[in-house]
Amino acid sequence: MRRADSSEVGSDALDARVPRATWAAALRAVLPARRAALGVGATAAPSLVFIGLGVVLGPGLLGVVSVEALRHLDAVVSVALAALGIFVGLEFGALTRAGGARPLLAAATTEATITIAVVAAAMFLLLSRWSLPVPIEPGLLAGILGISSCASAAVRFDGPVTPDVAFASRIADLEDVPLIGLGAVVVALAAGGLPVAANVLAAAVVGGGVGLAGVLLFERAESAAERGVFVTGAVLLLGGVAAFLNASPLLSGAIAAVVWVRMRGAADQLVRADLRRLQHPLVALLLIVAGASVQFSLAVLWIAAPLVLFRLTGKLLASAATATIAGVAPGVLGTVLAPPGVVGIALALNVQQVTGSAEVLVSSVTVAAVASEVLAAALLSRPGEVA
Amino acid sequence: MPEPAPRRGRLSRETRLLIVTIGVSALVLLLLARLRFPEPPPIANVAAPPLERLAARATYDELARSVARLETTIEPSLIVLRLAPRVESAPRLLTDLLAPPDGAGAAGRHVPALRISGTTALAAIAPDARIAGIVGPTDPGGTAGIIAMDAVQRVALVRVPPAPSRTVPHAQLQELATPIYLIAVEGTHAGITLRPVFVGRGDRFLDPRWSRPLLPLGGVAVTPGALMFTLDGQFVGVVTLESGTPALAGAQDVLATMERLIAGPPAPPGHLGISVQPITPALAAATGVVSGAIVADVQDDGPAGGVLQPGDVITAVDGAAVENPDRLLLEIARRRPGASVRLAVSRAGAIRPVELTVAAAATVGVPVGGEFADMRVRRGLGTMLVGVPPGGRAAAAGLAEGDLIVGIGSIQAPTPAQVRRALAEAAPGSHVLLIVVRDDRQRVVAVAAPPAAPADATR
Repeated sequence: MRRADSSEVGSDALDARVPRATWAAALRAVLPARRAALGVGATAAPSLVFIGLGVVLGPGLLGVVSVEALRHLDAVVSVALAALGIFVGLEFGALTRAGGARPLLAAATTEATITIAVVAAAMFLLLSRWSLPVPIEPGLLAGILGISSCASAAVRFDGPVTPDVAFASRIADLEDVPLIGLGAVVVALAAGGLPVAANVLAAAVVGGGVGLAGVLLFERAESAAERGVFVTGAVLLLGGVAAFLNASPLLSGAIAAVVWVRMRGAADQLVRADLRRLQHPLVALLLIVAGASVQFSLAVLWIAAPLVLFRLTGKLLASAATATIAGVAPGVLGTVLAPPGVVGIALALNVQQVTGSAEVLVSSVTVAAVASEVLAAALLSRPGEVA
Repeated sequence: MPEPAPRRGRLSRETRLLIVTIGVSALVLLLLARLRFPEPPPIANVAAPPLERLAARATYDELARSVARLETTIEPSLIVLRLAPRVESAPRLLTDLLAPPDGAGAAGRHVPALRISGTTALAAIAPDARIAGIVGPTDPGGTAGIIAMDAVQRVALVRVPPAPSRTVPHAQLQELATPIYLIAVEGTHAGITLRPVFVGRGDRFLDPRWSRPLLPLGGVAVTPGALMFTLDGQFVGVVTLESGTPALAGAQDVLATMERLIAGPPAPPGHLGISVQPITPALAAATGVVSGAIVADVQDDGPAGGVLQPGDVITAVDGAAVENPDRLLLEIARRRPGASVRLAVSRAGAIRPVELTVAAAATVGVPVGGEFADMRVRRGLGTMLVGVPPGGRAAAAGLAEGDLIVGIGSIQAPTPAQVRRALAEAAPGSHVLLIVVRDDRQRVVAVAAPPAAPADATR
């Protein structure tokens, strides 16, 4: 997606254009990405498709992706989370390096905070009264639901966009930053074992260490292939070590990416170029795993249904407040930020990994994301009507 | 004419959407907060617990009814025997008064007896016991007494006051399926008590005293001598002590013993004329044998005289390993006098086979002209009792192995022959006074002369 100044926006994997000369082109041909054809946003199609595919292939239906396979895919999910964190970190680092980040960060943080607060408070009120059979303490569960709800996926539009839409898209990308930060804390709380501070620090140290190593290695590679190996190894290391420590691979990846951006050299550009090839497969895998992990139950319905409504309320309320602060049209902000992002589902998967028993959480967040996607599609303005 | 300006709403679409969303959310929140997540459905079969509860109540009620039924059906066939204390006339010293009373000697025990005929009953009592009376029906003639006893199995044919008796059916212990509830019949000073006891699953075991395996009753609170019945009134057996733990000897074995006792005096227990000790770790190190019975003393005139010697270790009897001295003595006691027995004897590290002929240890039951006791001369001192037949006159008089007879009548330091002559010449029904030394304490013991033969010892 391009802003009015023709700069690229969007670090969310689903925002990037699908390369034509790849296997995804076939998928694109079958599933038109044009919002007009589907009546929904272009970013809606991939998440709906891959989550739906995961549900169909999962243990609940065809069983192609069995429970055993999901267990083996845990390591791959950790790597995918690290890659997602890298994308968020690259965008954040680039923004801070370019300057003028503070207003955007402030707006994104405000929007995320209000959304998290509204959703977490409402869900905590309900969870504490319902006594659901969920192996996570109600307060923590409400916090995770709130944090995962603040993730947004910017809408794709054909052609140049207005400044307000571009601003909204930036907000959608940047609100992943407080999401990852708070997400690391809730992951540490859910994992137990190490103290929370130690857990978060460990994730940060891993990210910083791998980032520094990458800075030293990436530009010294003798060939593109060798550099590809280094980059892949760095991503594997980020995901693997963070998973071993029961920490947040999202945070590790984000910090590593910030190191690559902030340090002298072109490490960030090299990583962005190399990871672009893995971007879609990893995110698609993440969504398929999330879909396959969905276990439909009464508890999932009880959580997902109000979560969709409270998320929408939180988003609209936060957008209105942020728009007032930022001086943009509130309608644009609200409708652009309505579709849920992948990072929220990624956080739920991370919590499931560290607890080993949070299927209800993943199922609820995934089902709520799909429902929010459909709801947002019904609320999105058609192209050209965004003002 | 200029076109009229388009009318604009007071609120934008987004604001209206926000207000509606907030309103709906608040309403939904209030409604959902009143709900409670439904409890997970019970996994167990709902119908089972009530039936199980009913069955549990029925089991206890059924037990109570069974006990009440048994009281009416079998009580006429039961008698409580009051046993005399073991030592009636031991010399008293101040230390005896200050010493804590011995529960066994302070009062006689009460044991139940099961009528097998109008005037006889079976009871499990110790060989040295003496029947002092019965509880309940009066017995002015003092007819209650031991007719005959199998000293090895410790069951006795007892004479009881005449009364109508009914045949009590008996159950096969080998066919009894455990775990099971049984009724334990015990005797107290007040009479018969019947109470249910739970007998858990246990593997039956062989004991030299009995022909058929016994059922272990470890953990079951029953007293030795108790009679056991099934819930429907079938006699199962008697409780006996085997190696210190209670066990149930089957009714078949017990009734077979009664048949033998009724038919005639029991065969005296077999005897090899040896005394044995258990193998201690020190003895095992010295002899090189870890299991068996070590010979402590050998009677010169006994079957083992000149063949075995103190220090020999008997490791097997007729091929069966000897676990401890008690088992060895019991195994020999079950042999009829005159039967041969093959022993595996270890001496100086070498095991060699020894064949001996079992001799009669002593007569039991009706000691008419029977051996009074095994006696040895102690020159200048008197006659030492080295073997007191259980249930015999010597045991009934309170004599025990190790007692030294230092006087009989006017004879000082009598020899065994003099003791036998004095006892044989005593008039029937009279008593002979013996001066006996035990534990450095001299006492006077009255030995009864043999009574007349019983009038009715048959069914």
